[in-house]
Order: sequence, then C-alpha cells, then structure tokens
Amino acid sequence: MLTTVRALLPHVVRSSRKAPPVLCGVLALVLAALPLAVSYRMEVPYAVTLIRVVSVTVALGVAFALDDAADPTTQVTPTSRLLVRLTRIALSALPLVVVWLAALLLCRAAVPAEGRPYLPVGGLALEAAALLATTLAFAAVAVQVSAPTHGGLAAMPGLLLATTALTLLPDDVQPFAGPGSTSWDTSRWFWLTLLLGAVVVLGGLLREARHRRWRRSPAVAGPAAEELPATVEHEARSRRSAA
Amino acid sequence: MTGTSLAPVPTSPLPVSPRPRGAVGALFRIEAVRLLRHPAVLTGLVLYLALWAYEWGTGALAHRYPVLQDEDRYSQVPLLLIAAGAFIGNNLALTRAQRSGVAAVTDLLALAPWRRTLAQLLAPLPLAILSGLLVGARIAHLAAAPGAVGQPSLLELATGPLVVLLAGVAGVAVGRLTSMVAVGPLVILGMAIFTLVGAVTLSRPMLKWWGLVAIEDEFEPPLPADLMYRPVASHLVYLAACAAVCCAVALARSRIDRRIGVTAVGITAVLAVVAGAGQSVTVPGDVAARRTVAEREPSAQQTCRTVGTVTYCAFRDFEGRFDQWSTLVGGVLRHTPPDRASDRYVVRQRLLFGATTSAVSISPPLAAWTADDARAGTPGAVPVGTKWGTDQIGGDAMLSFAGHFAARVVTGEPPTEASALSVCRSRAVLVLWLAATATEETTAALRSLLPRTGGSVILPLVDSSLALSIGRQEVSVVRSLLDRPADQVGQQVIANWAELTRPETGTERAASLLGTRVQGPAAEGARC
Amino acid sequence: MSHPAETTPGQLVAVDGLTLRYRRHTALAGVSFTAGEGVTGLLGPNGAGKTSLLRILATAMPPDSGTVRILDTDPLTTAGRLATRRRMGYLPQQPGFFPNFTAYEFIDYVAILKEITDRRQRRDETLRVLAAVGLSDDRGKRIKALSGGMRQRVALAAAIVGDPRVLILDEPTVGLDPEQRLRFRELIADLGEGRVVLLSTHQTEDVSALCHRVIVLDRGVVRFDGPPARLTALAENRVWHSAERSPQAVAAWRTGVGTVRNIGVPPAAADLVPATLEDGYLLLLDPSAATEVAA
Repeated sequence: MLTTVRALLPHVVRSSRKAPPVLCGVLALVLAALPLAVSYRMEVPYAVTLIRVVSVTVALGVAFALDDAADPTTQVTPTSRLLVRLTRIALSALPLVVVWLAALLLCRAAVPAEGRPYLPVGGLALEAAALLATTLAFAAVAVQVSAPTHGGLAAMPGLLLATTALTLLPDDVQPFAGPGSTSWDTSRWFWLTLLLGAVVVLGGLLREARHRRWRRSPAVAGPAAEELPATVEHEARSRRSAA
Repeated sequence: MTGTSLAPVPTSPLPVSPRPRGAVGALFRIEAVRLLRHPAVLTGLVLYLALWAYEWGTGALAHRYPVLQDEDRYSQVPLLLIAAGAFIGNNLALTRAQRSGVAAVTDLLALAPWRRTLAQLLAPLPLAILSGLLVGARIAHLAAAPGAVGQPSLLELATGPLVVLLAGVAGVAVGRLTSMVAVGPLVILGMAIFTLVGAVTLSRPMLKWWGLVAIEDEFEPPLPADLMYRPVASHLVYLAACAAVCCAVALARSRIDRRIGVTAVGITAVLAVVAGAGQSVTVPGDVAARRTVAEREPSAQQTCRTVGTVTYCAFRDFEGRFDQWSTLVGGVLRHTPPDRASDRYVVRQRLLFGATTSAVSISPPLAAWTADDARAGTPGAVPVGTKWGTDQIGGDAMLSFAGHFAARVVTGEPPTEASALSVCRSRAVLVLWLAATATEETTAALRSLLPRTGGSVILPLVDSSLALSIGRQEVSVVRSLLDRPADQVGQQVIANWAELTRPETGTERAASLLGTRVQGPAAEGARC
Repeated sequence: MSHPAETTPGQLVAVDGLTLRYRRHTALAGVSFTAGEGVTGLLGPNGAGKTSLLRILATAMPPDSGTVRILDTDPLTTAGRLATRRRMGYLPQQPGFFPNFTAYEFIDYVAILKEITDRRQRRDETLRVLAAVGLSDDRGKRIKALSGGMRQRVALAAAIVGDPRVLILDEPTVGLDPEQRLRFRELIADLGEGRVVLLSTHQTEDVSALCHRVIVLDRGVVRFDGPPARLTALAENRVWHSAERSPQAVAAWRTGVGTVRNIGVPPAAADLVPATLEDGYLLLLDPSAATEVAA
C-alpha cells in the first residue's frame, strides 16, 4: 500500500487543482497577518472572529480535493478508491492545516500577551476541523451524485451558504459563540457532532461510488424479471420460420 | 426510434429572420428560470425559510415585540443567503458552456456575446422580485406579531432585494473576468469579510456603508423613526451604481468596442465612488437637535394614556407598548397593599443617546427630566426605555423597568441616586421579588440574567449609570421565594408590607417574614 | 432461468437474470447470456440497457438481482470484485482524463492503480500498451492537445494495461472518423484473440466487421443472441428497392442513389436486394414487425 501511495504521489500532485488551495492559503495568511502588519493590538473576541474567518477560508481550499477527472477511466482498477481519495485529501489538506496553524500563531501574536491565555485555541481548532470535514463531505456528496469533477464546484458555495446560515442562528443556539459566553460549551458539542457527522459521511462516500448497492442481496429479484422472459432463441426461431 | 418509417425532415414553415432583441428576451427568460432553479439559489432560499421557520417554531416571534423601523433593516442580512445563491448561480451559468464542453458551439452563435451577457445580467431580476416578496411577507408577519410597534421604511426593505440583484450581476462580471470557478466563492468570502469588518468596527464606522448592508450596533436601543439616521437612499444609489459597474465590466468583457467598454467602466466606477462617498456617516444637525430634545424634554413629542391609576407616555411609534407596560405594572402592583396599588403613578419612555457606545455608562439628566415632568404635569415619572423583548437585551430591559417601578412603589420616591441607594436589604429583596414576579417574562429574564452575573443583580435605569444594585444575599432570598407560588408569597408581602419596606429592616428579617432563610454571607463591599 | 450462472470451459463470462431499475425506468429486465473468447458485440438502441449491463460486468455497479460469473469468480462479492478487477479492462462510454497529463503519464497513473508498482515493469507495460494502440510517437503529448480519436486510444490503452483476460468496451468507436474506426476495429479484433472482449455499439458495421457473436438488447431484454449472419438472415427476402416509399414498410429511407430502401412489406414494382445486418436489426426491433412475424 505504501509503495502504491509513493508511486501515486507525483501523479496526484500534478492532477490536483492547485489554484484554489493556494489562493485560499494565501488569503488566510494575509488576513491573519493584517493586524500585525498594522500593529493593531487585537482583543480576544476580535482575534476569535478573525481565526474563524481564517478557518472558513482554509476549509474552502480543500473543496477541490476530491475532484478527479480520470475517475470514469480508473474507477474499476484493483487499487482501493479510498486509498486514492485519502491520498488526494491528505495532499491538499495537510498544507492547509499548516497554513491554519501559522495563521493562528499570527493572530495570537497580535493579541496582547495578557489576553493570549483567553484565546480558546482548542475550541477554535475543533471548529476549523469541522468546517474542513464538512467541506470535504459536501465535495464527496457532489462527486457522488453529480460528476467526478463537480466536488469543488458544489462544496465551496455549500460551505459558504452553510456558514452564513449558521451565523444567522439565534444567540442561544449560535455555533459561533463568543469565547467565555454561556453558549460556548454547548456550541462545542455542535461542532463535535458536525465533525463526526462529516467524517461518517465521508467514510461512507469515499469508499466507492454507488457502493451501498453492493450490500443488497442479489437474490432479491425485481418484478420485471419474471414478466419479461428472455426470448432469444425462441423468438429468433419463430421469426426465421415466419420469414 | 427504430421500426418507424423514416420520414423526410420537414422544413421550417416560418421564415427565420434575425430578431436579436427577441432573442435576448427569450434567453433572459430561460436564464432567469435556470437561476431560480439553480441548486445554490434553492439552497439559499431553503436556508432563508428554514431560519424563519425555526424562529416561528420555537415561538420566539410571539415574544419578540418587533420594532418595525428596526426589523426593516434586519431583513437584509438573511437575504445575503439568497444573494450568495444568486451570485454563484449566475457565475456558474457563465462557465457552464465551457464546463460542459459546448463552448465551441456557443461561441459561434449568431447572437452577439454582449447580448448574451445582457440576458444573463437581467436573469437575477425575477429572483430579486421574489426576494422582495419574501421581505414583504416577513415584515407583514412581524407586523402581525403581538406587540409589534413602529413603521418599516420602504427603502430599507428594498435594500435586500437590490443586494440580491447586485450579487447576481456581480456574478456575471466575475464570470466574464475569469473562468476559474474557485474565484466566485472567494469573492463572496471577500464581500462577507467586508460586511463583517463593517459590523465589528462600529466605533469607527467609515466602512459601514461601503459594504452591501450596513449593520447597526444591536445594543443600541430602538429609536422612533424620526430620530433615526441611516443614509438609506444614498446607499440604494450606491448599490445601484455598484450594479452598474458590474454590468459595465461584464459587457466590456463581451467583445464590444474596447473604447465604449472602458468608458462605461470608468464612468460607472466614478459614479459608484461618488455615490459611496455620498453616504455620510455623521448625524445631520436637525436630527441631532431633535435627539437632544427627545432626550431631555421628551414630553412634547409623546402621547400619554391613563390606564387605571397609572399614566403611560410613549414616543410616537411606541404607543403599542402601553399594553405591555400596563401588564407589567399590574403584575408589580398585584402584590402590594391596596393603598399603594391605588396611588397615582406615571411611566414615561426615555431615550439616552450614547449610553452604551463608550464602555462607561452615562448618568441620566435627572434635573432636566424632573423639570420636563413638572411642565407636563406628570411628576415622579418612572423611566422606561425603548428596548423590550424576551431575548437577553430585551429581557434585561424589562426586568430593569420592573425593578425601578417596584422601587418607586416600595420607596415612594421617583428614581434618583438617593432613592436607588435606599433600595437595600429587605427593600432590595422586596423590589427584586416584585419585579421578578410581575410577569412570566420578567421571571424568565431574572433566571437568564443570574448565570451571567455571578449571583448579584444590577438593574440600570434605561442603560444609564443610575442602577439598583442588589447583593448576592438578597438575590438568593428572592431565588428561594421564586420556587414558591407567587400568590402565597404575595399574601405574606402584603401582610408584612410596612416592615418589609422600612429601610432598616435586614435581609434575614425579610427572609424570615416571607418564610425562608438567608443562604450565604452578605457580599463584601456592598453599598448597603 | 433462476439457476446460478456458471462458466463452463469456453464460457468465461456468464450472467443470469440480471435486473436493474432506476427510479422510474427499468434498465435491465432479466438479462442472461454467456460469452467466451473472441469479440461479442452488444447491439441496441439508445437506452436499451447496454451501458448498464457493461457497467455491471465491469464491477462499476451492482445489479438489483441476478448472478454474474467472470473467469470463475463472482464479482458481486467484495473479494470476487477485486479478483475480477485484476483480470479485467474497462473502457467506459465517456472516459475521463487529466488533461494536463501526457499520454505516457496518464497510462503510468493507470498502471499504478492496476497494482504495477515496480517502476521498470510499469515503464515497460506503459510503453507496450501505448505501442499497441499506436500512440508511441505521441506519448509525450498532453492529452488536452490530442484529437478525439487519439484520446479514445489513450482510453483503450488504459483498459489493456496489465494484459487483462476480459475486456469490456463501451462504444469504443463512437466519434471516430472512418480511418480511425478501421484502425480501432483491427486493434479490437487483435485483442479478441485469446481474450473475452465484450463491446457495445450502435454501429451495425462494427458488429459485422468485428464480432463472431452479437447480442441485441432492447428495453432491458435480450432480443437476439447468435452469430451476426443469423441476424442478417432475419431480413433475407424482405429488403426491397423501389422508386416509392412503401406505406406498410417497417423502415424505409431514400438512399444516396435515389431509390427507396424498404424493409418488410414491399411496395409495387420493387426489386428484391440482399439484406444487411442493419436490415435484420431494424426488423428485429420493430414492434409491428414482431407481431406480423408471429402471425
């Protein structure tokens, strides 16, 4: 398996779309560096908001990770599709995770030293992970139901619309809760659930397109099977005699 | 398909003559329907309706007490969901031919590219109209809610649909500039960040009106419509100018004469900048003057109504609040002796400008208020703000008003620094209990407030620095009283009224009079 | 018909009672046949179920019911699917490529996915299949710069990487010019030697030129299964040339030379002409002809 992955790597790198992750990564770093660049001493709530914007930006970058134009040609090769797709995800997600961490450090550096301990890094990392996984889940669904190259096309708008809708939820159920607010703890459960849900969806969809139907028992016959007998030889014979 | 006789292809019975305008119209109809059915637009619509349904389903609307001159602008932000859908749908429609590999065919069509762009630019119109209908339905729904007050501004209501239209044409412009599908969502992200920056830098609102929608500080109290200042008309002009820039860019990139294209982009860009700069953020002098009068001498601008022994005075647009006030006041007076309940009271609505923009609360102009009340013949009026509702902000405001009205009844004095300071020990217990049991909503407001304050309660007078401060010990007594039926406690309150309202009666004594016990020590450094 | 499909020597692919339904549409309504070495053609109109059948055989999708055996394994089980994939090549109806890859790089990528991980071995195999489809000279060209016919050859090369025993080709000659189609037929005929080649097409010429056996699929049912000559024989003595169209003809069209070719019922003053596979096919699929024949 490792040899396969190693052999695949250069091809996967070359066949992946690079512009979206690069654009998103650069945008995330620029946004995170802005307060430092203008020497703005950022308060913790503003830093949290900025990190959230960075998380969404980074998540958008993985939207195209599952797009695979060659999928129709390679879908029935013996190598597990999960392996190929995980390689794709890892290749585009890992650099973006590094970007997120760098952006986090940049934001943190702009917060005055006494405020830094109040930056809820763990909770924000959970949000970022959930957003990333949700984007991938959107992409996986789009690849499954639409076309192998439509993952990013659907995942980017999907994530943006979903995030916008989340920010519009009322305060008591607001997932982007303020740090230290009463709804912070409950909102972490939301993100954890979202993360797990997205991972489950991903796990289910990445294995193989239309895989679910393999589990159906082949003994279940459709009604049409009995109604329409295969009349091959019989029909051909009757035709010949009639002719 | 097989087996049928292969008939010769019939020739078209109609002579085909080129009608480019008709073609644009036909294309517009097709693209408009496609846009309405685009997954991104449908998702945006579904999410918009889901948020509305959620609010409806949780019953939040029944206790929202909407102020329609604020709700009109609140309608704009949720519409951004549909706007994002319009942007994406229109943007992807442009790259559709390329993605599906028919660009080679469509590029050779007789219809000029700019006409096709024009049809695409017009495509979001029906969606914008639909958004307008949704906004109309939304505001009608809110206006029908119990306790709705005020009047919506048509211009504010029109902003959201115009943003949808702008987003749609911006999608075309971006699509004409680049065929990279990842750029569209990033542009949306950029616009969202711009709007967000506008919303979080309210203290320096330079950028506020340059975004799509201008968000106001939600902690500011609602205002009567004639005291509000939002350059909405200029903002609509600005949005229209932005849409014109997008149209010009999209058409300029559709193989029209280069000079015409560049000129159009230049002119519209200048227009947009001028229109953007025309959205002045400073409050004009006449509005500022009206606000000063409203703050210091509101009686001339208000209408009053007397219900029983209580006179209520409210700003125009807020007369609908009389019922809620009178319910709450009735709730406070229910548990007071008949002689107190039949006293004459006045409740007057008050505004304090700039009360929360700086971190420090300002002190109320009590002298001016007293003079104004004397002129109007309503001495000793209890102030009530314009905030009202069951959310955190509105709930705190309700509870504060209930507290100050209860303090007025208990101390027999209008709210001043001295009277607020005299609400201590037994009086504090009584005031807070009367306030909390006034209505179910004030009970809920106190329960929601306590986890945020660490046990003590501060009830500011209309967001000012003048506040009733009730210590942890007194609050704990009230908490235990709230677990018992209010009428049962109420009888004890009326029976022991004289002793409970005496300033020197202690907290422990009050607790025992009301049949409970003090828990925990008195707060250190308390004012009492 | 309910007994499980089994492959006997010479029958390397066997399907029995395959059914497949999409929401409102029955794609396969109990398809059974066997196939051995050589090229077997799958003929049928659009929507007949050809692609669904081939996708099932290619393990890209399971049927609703029915059994499949390919080279003595059951591809409907997880282990059998893997074993089948190791010995099978598939050319989908609409192959996908990485447009910025060269033909060589793309085949190399496919070879990795076909578990040829040894670098030298993979290089040899890639060069071999590219040579087999006649792309040796163009192997350094990017796929986006290749013509449609050449792309189709890249897809065929991808299918034959690893020298599979079973080849499933879904409309391999669609969109090719006559010369390319001829070249493709040669290639496929070569591949048919010692292998099972199942190809779908709606070109009757492909079938007459290539296949030793033809299966006609219509609305999810096998309507004919036998050698191409027998399909042609169905129309013998039933094809007429005349100056006028016969109103009762199953099919009638004006040919390039100006006469009308009528299949089925002849018009007045018509000349009997020799039948082709296409005539037999058209006659077979005509519902009115079927009743007429039965009567």
